[in-house]
This record gives sequence, C-alpha cells and structure tokens, in this order.
Amino acid sequence: MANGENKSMTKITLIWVMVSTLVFIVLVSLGVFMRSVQSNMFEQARTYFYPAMTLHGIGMAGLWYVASMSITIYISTRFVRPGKSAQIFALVCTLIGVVLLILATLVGKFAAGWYFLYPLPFFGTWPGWATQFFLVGITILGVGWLIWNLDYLRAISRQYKLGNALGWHYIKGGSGPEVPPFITITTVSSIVCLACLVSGVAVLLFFFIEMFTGKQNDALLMKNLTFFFGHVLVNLSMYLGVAVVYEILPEFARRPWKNNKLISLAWNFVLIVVLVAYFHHLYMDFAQPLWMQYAGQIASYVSSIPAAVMSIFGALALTYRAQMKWNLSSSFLFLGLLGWAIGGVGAVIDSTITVNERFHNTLWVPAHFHTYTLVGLVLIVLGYFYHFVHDINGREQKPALSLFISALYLIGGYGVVAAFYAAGADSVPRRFSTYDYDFIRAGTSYAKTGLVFSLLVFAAVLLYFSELIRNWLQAFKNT
Amino acid sequence: MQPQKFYLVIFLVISAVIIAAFWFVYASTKNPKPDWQVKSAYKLRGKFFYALAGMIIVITLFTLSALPYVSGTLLPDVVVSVEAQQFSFIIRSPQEDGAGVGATRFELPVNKLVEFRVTSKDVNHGFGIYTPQGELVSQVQAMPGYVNRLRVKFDQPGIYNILCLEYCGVAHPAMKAEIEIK
Repeated sequence: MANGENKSMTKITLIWVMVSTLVFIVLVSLGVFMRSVQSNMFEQARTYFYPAMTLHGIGMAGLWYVASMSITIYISTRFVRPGKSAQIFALVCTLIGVVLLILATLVGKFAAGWYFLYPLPFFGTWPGWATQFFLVGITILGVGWLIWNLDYLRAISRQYKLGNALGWHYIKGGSGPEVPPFITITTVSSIVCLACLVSGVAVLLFFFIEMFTGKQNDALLMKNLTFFFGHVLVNLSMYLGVAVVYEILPEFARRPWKNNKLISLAWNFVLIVVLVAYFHHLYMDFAQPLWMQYAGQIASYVSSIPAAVMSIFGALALTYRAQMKWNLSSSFLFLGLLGWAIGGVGAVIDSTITVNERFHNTLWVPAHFHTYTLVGLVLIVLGYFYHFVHDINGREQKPALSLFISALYLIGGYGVVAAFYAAGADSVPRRFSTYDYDFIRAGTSYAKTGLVFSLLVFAAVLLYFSELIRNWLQAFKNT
Repeated sequence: MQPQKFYLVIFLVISAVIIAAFWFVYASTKNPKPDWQVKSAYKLRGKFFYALAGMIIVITLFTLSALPYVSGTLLPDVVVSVEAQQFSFIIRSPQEDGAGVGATRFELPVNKLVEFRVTSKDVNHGFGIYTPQGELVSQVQAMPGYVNRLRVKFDQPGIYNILCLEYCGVAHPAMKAEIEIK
C-alpha cells in the first residue's frame, strides 16, 4: 500500500480507536447505572432503566462489531487494499446511527430492548418518533456496514480467489498460494455478516411495512429473523477479534501461526454452523418446528469444537514456552481468549434444551455473554488499540501501570460476571429493573455485588483511557 | 441438588480446568524454549478433539431424549388457558372463554399432569413457573398468534408464582400471577 494511502488508513483507524473507547466509557457507565437501579438506588431515575438497557445493549453489540471491524480493516492492509471511501462511509453512517439511537433512547425513552423484539416497538409508552428514530438509526448502521463488508470482500477478491481466501485449496490438500489464517477468518466473517445484514434488513422492512400499511407480521418469523441477525452479529464480532489474535499473538510469541488444512476446515465449518446455532434462542418457543430445536442444540455444541480445538488450543500451543513479550496488549489478547473460552462454556451449557428451560432469560444469559465480551472480546480489542497507538509512536508500554490496569479490570470484570452467574443459578430473572417480590429478592443483593465490581471496571477503563489518550494524541500528530 | 446448582458446579469445574491450562501455558513462558515445535502438540490436540467430540455425542444423546415439548399420545389431566398481556396474565380453564373471565390466581390439583396453553394478546411474554421456594422449574414463551403447550406435574402443594420471563415493556417486572396447588 502506498505511503499516503497507509497514512489515511492509520488516521481513520485512530479515529475509530478514539470513538470506540469514548463510546465504551459511556456504555459502561450505563451498565453501572443499571446495576445501581437494581440495587434500589437512584429511585427517581428508575424510568431511565429500560431506555438505558436498550442503549447499553444495542450500543455494546454495535460498538464491538465496529471496533473489531475497524482493526480488522487496518491489519488487512498488510495483505489487501480496502477502499478509503468505504471506511469513511462506514464511519459517517455509524456516527449518524449512534446519534439517532441516543436521541431515541435517552430523549424519546425508547425502551424495546437491543433486539427490539416484534411487536414491542409498537406497544411502548414512548412516542412514535422515538421508534422511528431507532429503526432509521439501525437502518443507517446496516447500510454503512453493508458497504463496509462489500468493499472488504472486493479488496480480498482482488488479491485472492474467493475459494483460496476461504482456504479451500488447503482443504483439498494443496499448500499454496499462501493465505494467512487472518484472511480466511475475516472472509468467513464478512460473508456471515452479509447474511446477518440481509436478515436485519428483512426485519426492518417488515417493521416499516407494518408501520405504513398496518399489515401485521408473523411474530415467530420476526423472532427468527431478529435472533438470526443479533446472534450472528455478536458471534462474528468475536470471530474478527479472534482473527486479530491469529495475526498479532505470533508477533508477541515470536512464532508463526500459519494456515493449513485443519484451520481452514474449522473456519469453513464455523461458516455453516453459526447460521444454524441461533435456533437456541427460540427453545422456549414451543411452536417452533421440532427439527429446528434439535438443530439448534447440535449446532451450538459442535460449534465449540473448532473454537476449542483449533483457536484456543492453537493459541496455547503457540504461547507454550515461547519467548513471550508480556505487556498490556499481549496479556489482554491472551486473557481475552480465556474469557472467550469460559463464556463459551457458559453458553454451551445454556444451549442444552433441558438446561435452557431453567436458565432462559435468567441472569445466566448476561453472565455468559458478558464473559465472552467484557472479559473476552473487549480485552482483545483494547489490547490491540493499545498496541496500535504505541506502534505508531514507536514507544514501549509501561509495565507497572499496565499490570495495575489489567488487575483492576480483571477483578472487576470477573466480579461482574460472577454476580450474574450466581444470580442465574439462583433463578433470578434478567431485565428486571427491580426485584420487589420476596422469592426473587436475592436479585437485589447480587445487583449490589455486581455494582461494586462494575465500578472497578469503570475505574480501570478510565485509567486505560488516560494512558491511551496521551499516546493517541501523539500518534494522531505523527500521522 | 437443584438442577441450576448442578449446572453451575459443572460450569465452575470446566472453567477451573481452562484457567489451569492458561496458567500452565503462561507459567511455561518464564522458562522459554523458542525452538520448541508447535507441531509436537498436534498429538495432544488430536486426543483433545476426540475427547471433546465423544463428550458432545454422549451429552447430546442423553439430553435430547428428555425435552420439555409435548409429544406422544398421553393426554393431560387438566388443561388451562393462559393469555398474557401487558402487564398481567389471565388464567382460566378452556370452558371459561367469556370476556373478563379469568384470574391472576388459579387453583390446580397436586400430582396431576397439567397442560398450559399459553398465548399473548399483544407482545411476546414469558410464562415462568417458580416453586414456593423461588426455584424456576419450567417456562415457555407467550407469543401473539401462537399457542405454546407446556406440561407440568406439580408434586408439592403450595403457592407457585408465575413471572413474565420475556421483556415486554417498562412494567415488565410487575407482571406476576399465582397458582395454588392443592
């Protein structure tokens, strides 16, 4: 890539780094606020619980997708040439979308939850304009991300045949041309993302049709489309994070992590099972055809095999007795995989139909998804952000401060998820602003515990930001 | 042991093994051997794959044989209709289908197979059944346009609480009903 082009990609990535970190701070504070309300504090602000929950959910789901995608694009410039205009378009669409979502939730008090399950947006206490702002905001985000992915696939197809990018030549037994695992994983993720966005577009279209014609939609179909969209979006964000680990961890371990038949096979397998695993969100919809329920459990179980055997085992083998350069970034990449693994276990347990009958929509659900995000994907992305700004500046990371930030974040993060797991195992329902009934009163105590740990996370994120911003400003000047 | 607690223990045990593996690898980097070949772990990886695949097959066969869905020819002893709406449940026997009939507290017999036919009048809701001790024992979704059939046999008398377990709007936590098992 030409020097000028490289500089502009670096600058756009730096903007993504700053926007993502600032949005993260705001969204973490919403999480702290929600745990405060559940602890029976801020009673006068209780009416903001569900708008905050909606913004926290949609914000985090979107944030970690764009953050992972932005660093994916930057790293991909080692191999391909993504278009600058597509990056700017995605950034502008994301910013407009975010503003609309903030207006809908915090001003309009739109509170249908992050996946705005049909037909709840039409049955709320919020004004009609708030629903419209929310749906239009999601539409703009979808358009921006669609172009982003199409451009990325275009860039890949210019450099590699699509079959090669997916590693099919390795699967057939060939050894060349050399395609890094990063390219295979991100190609899989981009294809999956297109499927996810098509589903999202269908949901939005059906919403708009009902809004303008009054023609009611089928609730089960809408639920399937919605969960396909939501489940795939969250999973592919994780895959992009894992792709970053495949590319960057070898630099810290000073060992290569090359593509081969099994890695390609694993990721092509992921491409198929991730499209089916979402059925596990509908186990408690008994009207769903039985074969879908079976398929949901089987796909959820088998999807753990490539993750555990190829990615997690592979990363551990790569690190074993390596001359590892440990700093905040490498620790976060390593620990992020740990969070992904533990959260994955929580998710697979809950993807058992008989278990889900006991755990569905209890706090076990936020427990496992916070494990693979808060102490999983988020660590990977923040670790890379830190590495990226230091790399641009040519500075070394400060070990003592890094250790303190890491320890604070981990204690806080694992404390937050532990409070969720314990509450889930104690039958405490999720998405309750208060636990007023005696038989679920324990929810308040778990919320108080979670609140203390969430404050530690918040403090760690602020410290991280204070360190990041100094290096970021220097990096921005240098670019 | 309650099933939920059992699942938590399984989760904690597996998590402890994973943490131990990560710690072992982290500790190994204090005594580096840069020329150690990653390929030498492939044999262990193969064993890990077969162990995981075997475990998945066994657990799948074991757990898919006892699902909460209605199947077979067995008829329920009692049938109950449940209509969920923002922010209450209307529970009644199917014969009482007049408007306004129904209750948020309903009596049912102990040790009888009860079939709940659950639907919604507006948005998606949940129908979660809590024992008098506060343990969630079963649930089903209430969806507009569909009737979900949930079968439960209550083996202990007492007041069971019903909570909505699908977020349905700002008064979601207030949505509650009671079933008295006699």
